[in-house]
Amino acid sequence: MKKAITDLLLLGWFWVSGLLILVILLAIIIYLIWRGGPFISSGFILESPGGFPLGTEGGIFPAIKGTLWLILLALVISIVPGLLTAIYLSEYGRSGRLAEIINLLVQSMAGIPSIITGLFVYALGVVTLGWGISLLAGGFALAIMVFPVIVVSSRDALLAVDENYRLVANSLGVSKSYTLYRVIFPRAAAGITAGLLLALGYAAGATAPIMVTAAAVIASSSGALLEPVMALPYHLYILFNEHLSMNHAYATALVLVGLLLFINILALSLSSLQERINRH
Amino acid sequence: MSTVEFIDFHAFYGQKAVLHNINVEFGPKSITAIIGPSGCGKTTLLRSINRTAEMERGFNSHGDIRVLGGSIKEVRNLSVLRRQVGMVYQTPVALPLSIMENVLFGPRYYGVKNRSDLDAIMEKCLRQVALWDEVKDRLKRPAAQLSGGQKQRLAIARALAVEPRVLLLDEPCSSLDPASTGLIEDLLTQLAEGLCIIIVTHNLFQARRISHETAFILDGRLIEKAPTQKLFESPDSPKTRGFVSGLFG
Amino acid sequence: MIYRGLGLKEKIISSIIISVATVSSLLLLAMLIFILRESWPIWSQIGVSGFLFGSSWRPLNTPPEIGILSMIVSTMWVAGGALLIAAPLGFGCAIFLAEFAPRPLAAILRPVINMLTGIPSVVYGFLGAAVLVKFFEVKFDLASGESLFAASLILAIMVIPFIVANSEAALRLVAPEYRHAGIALGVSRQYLTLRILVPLARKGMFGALVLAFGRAMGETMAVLMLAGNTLRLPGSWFDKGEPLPALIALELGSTTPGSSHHQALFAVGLVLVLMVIAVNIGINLLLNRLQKGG
Repeated sequence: MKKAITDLLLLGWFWVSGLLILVILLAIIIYLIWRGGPFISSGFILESPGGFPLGTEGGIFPAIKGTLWLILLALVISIVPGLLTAIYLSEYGRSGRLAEIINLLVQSMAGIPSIITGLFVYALGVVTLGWGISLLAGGFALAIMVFPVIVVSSRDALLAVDENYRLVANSLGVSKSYTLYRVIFPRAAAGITAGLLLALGYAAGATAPIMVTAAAVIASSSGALLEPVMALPYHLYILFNEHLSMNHAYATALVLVGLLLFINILALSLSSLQERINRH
Repeated sequence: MSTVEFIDFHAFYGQKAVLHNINVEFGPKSITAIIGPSGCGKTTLLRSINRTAEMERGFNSHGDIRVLGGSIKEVRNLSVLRRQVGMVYQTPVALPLSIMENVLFGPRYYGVKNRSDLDAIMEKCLRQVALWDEVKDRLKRPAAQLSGGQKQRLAIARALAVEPRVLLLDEPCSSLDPASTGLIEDLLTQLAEGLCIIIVTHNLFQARRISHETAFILDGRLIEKAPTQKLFESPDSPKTRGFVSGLFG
Repeated sequence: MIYRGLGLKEKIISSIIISVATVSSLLLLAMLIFILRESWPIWSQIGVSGFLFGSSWRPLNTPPEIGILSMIVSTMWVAGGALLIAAPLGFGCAIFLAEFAPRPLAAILRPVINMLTGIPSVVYGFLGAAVLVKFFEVKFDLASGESLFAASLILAIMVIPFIVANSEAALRLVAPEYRHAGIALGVSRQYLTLRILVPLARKGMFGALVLAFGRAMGETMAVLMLAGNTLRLPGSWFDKGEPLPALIALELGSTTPGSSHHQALFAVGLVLVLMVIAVNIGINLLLNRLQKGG
């Protein structure tokens, strides 16, 4: 009898914690839509913050623009080193000693708190190189932050490509780069793109690193590299922290979460596409 | 002159020796079958010839192999060697490209650019493997749609497209049905008119049907190599007799 | 000659790839060295133990008082507390997904976990502050509901997806034979899971927990918005505090480069990084020993 009760309790624990995940996500989304939805309008999306103090009225257009600039710049900076490192790990270094070390370094980089990246870029870019609080410094910090994400996801996508292709190509005497370009890369493209999207989403939501390197309470976010920008996550923080407008804070959070979930779902469908490709 | 020649060749994986002191020659325009029980080193021997064996972790060798008179260990650029020595694997592999691009995968790399040259190579190779009539209307379709037997013939065409002098086959028919196997055996016999073919097979009937010579390997040692009929009917070594006697029951 | 030319091209390509991969990975070391250099005066003037165990943070005083004990304690409370809450739920969910969830439900839950990791920390922090903290204030009649506990609660939600994803992967790696054997013996699936599968997957599950701990220690926005930001030494989980990342985020912008305040924040950064790295390495060593012992 006692055994049966234990079993029942355990089953309850598993179910409750499983369903809790779903409940949390739904609660977050529904609550944000409920509190923020009514304040989203074309004006909110397309206008600059207004009112006094700034942000109590108007919209969040410069913050959206700034976030897009930041993630674009982060991607531009990190994509080439990220992909080449992944290619080294999957095609050239494989299980060699250097690859092992690089793998370890990349893994440790993934564990570095993002505020540390911000701290580093603050000292190096903002102060030492004289960039000031700027789009460039923020993009650089975010690039460092997403670099390991890009490396790991692209490496895994490349490694998942059928090893037989490499074997066949090798026995024909063609070079690794030719094989990579003609066969391996196209074959892994969906998975790599999914990884890049995840990296973009990760960068778009990051607050701590841009808070100390790029973000301003108010800015035009024109895309000039050496000027500060507004950004959605930082704007949300300011709206709440400075008690500017709770309504706008909820609406901004909703826009941010909506953007990120959109990117996330896109990435998820690409990776399931990749899984289907790999099974063939 | 022999096309492929093993000279005092030893191979190891880590500390474990897998091939002991192999001395053997393979002539041009002939099919040699390599037989032996699983794990005897047949595949390692085959893969040593185009130096793909060394891609495995811990592979090590001493002694030498000469291909067309040149030592494989002194090759400056591996692609020269691998172009001379084509290889076909056990699993039929279609590269994720069109049928046409599968065949042209090598030629394009080696710098053939002219449209009509490429078309000529493709048609010639597909005809050589008796695939042309089956696929000429769908050359641009993905090769993944082909059947297993067709994929294996495509793999041979792909290897032929870079004009090798030697063709290595590692149990090419073991995953195919009898009809496809028959087709491939026929085309190997035809190809032997211009190529040195070395085929690893665990199918003794197949070795008997198609090969001019057969080599028997046991525990990493070459026990005997002789004209096929002699090896099967009156082998010198009792070990060979023991192995092939399975054939006669 | 053609072939040799191609070989050269390939050599150039591969050396470019090797150099880019090496240089970009070395960035990690560059970061550490740079942060160490910026913080050097602190270590030489105040010393390691004075910095770590000093409990007063008045960097603008003359002479400056620079000790980060209360921030270290806050960090440990917040991150440890988050694990305390997240571990049972995360493991429960992982076991549910790996062993008990009906297929269609699992197919919904897995993307849900991914989406939860996609929600940025500032949103979690905002919701925590706007909803949870308000709730504490009303319910317990507090002047302000911010506390290490509130930060832990929100951090727990943030790290649960990591615990779930990694421990489910570990559970799935357990060979199916064990399940068949257990089922053949007629024991309940719960018994089988807890007594056989979980012990077999313990290395991976423990690793998941450690990864989560590292994340929780370094997380900035949520603790910044929830922990209360007071520099006093917290006496309990329900006190306010200011974890290390929040300290850096709050004060970095107002420092003058070259001042002891500025240097001290880099020292804080170095301590934080080393704590995260130490947890990861220490656990790896411990796990290896466990492996050998078991």
